[in-house]
Amino acid sequence: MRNSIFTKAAISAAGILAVLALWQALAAKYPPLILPSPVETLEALVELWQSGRLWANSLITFQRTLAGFGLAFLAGIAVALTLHAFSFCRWMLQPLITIVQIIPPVVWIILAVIWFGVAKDTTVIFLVFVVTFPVVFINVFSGFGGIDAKLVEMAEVYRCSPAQVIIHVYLPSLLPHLVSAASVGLAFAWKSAVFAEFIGSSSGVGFALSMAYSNLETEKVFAWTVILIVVMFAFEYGVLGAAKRRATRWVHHE
Amino acid sequence: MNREQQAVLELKQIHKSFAAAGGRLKVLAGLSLRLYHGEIVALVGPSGCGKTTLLNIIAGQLRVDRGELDKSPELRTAYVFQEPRLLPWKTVEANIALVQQNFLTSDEARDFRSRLLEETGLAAYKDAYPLQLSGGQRQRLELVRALAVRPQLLLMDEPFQSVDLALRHQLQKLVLDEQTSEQFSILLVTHSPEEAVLLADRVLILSDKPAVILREITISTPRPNRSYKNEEIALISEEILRAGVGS
Repeated sequence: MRNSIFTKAAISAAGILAVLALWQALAAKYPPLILPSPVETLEALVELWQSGRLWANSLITFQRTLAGFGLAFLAGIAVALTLHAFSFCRWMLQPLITIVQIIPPVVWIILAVIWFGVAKDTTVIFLVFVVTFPVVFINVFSGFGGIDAKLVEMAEVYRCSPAQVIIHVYLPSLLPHLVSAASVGLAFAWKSAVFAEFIGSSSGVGFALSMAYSNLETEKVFAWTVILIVVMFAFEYGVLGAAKRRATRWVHHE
Repeated sequence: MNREQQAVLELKQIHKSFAAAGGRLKVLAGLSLRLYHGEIVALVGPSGCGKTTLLNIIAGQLRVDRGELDKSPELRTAYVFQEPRLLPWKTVEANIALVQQNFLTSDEARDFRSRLLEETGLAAYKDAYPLQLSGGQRQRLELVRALAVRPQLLLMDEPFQSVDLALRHQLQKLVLDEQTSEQFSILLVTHSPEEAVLLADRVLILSDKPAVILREITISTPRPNRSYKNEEIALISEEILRAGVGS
């Protein structure tokens, strides 16, 4: 077991090193404006770090992502619960949610800028919300469908209160779906926050990217991309990985 | 068994049907039965004749279309489902403790639980999750959970169908021992004539659906003497088989 983890890690590391080597080789052939080298990217990272812009912009994007996604998460659960409980809501709202999901994010960002204005937190938060809400809703709603009615019956026969049924039957059944909603939703949330900032904001990682683009500082585009990758990795494997293991402990427990 | 005792449960002219393709499927048509305190009654009858429906009505999971169900709302009822209904995210012990807390004090619950887990050989697995147990162990846990609430009425739906013979005899003995010391009533649905004549004070033979009671047989032979060598037991078993049970 231990061995295979090391083997997998070694193979992953080898893959990353191979890409870095290829990147370095290609960068040697092209000017930095087209393709900055890994070293130039690292220098740009250090510069952003020292100027304080790395933290300042990352923090803003982080806050907007969490705000938009947090709202979408709560709303997604609430709406899924409502639609699960009342079927007439299902017929009415489900097509609307599909429509929200079909509309391309670029349309939403245009509308957000028109409605909320440029350089407003609301613009970014709105886009994150609109993009991630259907993701959360669909995951949680399918989770409700997966609740085993026979277990609910069992609990009722043994006189479990509605609160006990929710805590001991509903929530544990939903937990893997909530974690997967968070995992998929957050990946979308980051991307849409950066996208919204690129188009309609004056701060955040997306705005920094658009400045780097306008100023033809390609190495900074690469540097910000590296930061986004690192943050998303940390979230997916750190926070969510732990949550996933916790949610399904009873399946893998040996 | 003292027949003068009070009925813990009485069904009067119960009717039940379900929506089905092309109309309604009548499952129970005017079924009546009475279950006395401390009595074990076996329900036998053809597959799909409505035995499980009857248990679900008594357990409060289904409403009757017509008829009357007399049962004290206080009657502490436990149900051994045909397929174990265990919470997969709770350990063996937590599965039992969850339902016990609605009926017993925590000390009483713990004592009862440990003893039953010990007697069924599950004590070593009390921290395991149901998915780690074998099918037979899960069936045992299902039974232990039901007994652990100290029920007044125990409903059992073909509880030992999928366990091997040795374990089946062990669990039947456990149920009888507990019933003797706690004096609860049992309504047992079974396909096995052998199980019916071994456990029951009375056997009710149901018709094909819509189900009514075709025949009621009281078994007078004391339990220790119930073997096929005994004439009464042999005759009753034959009669149950003739009624098409298990077909």
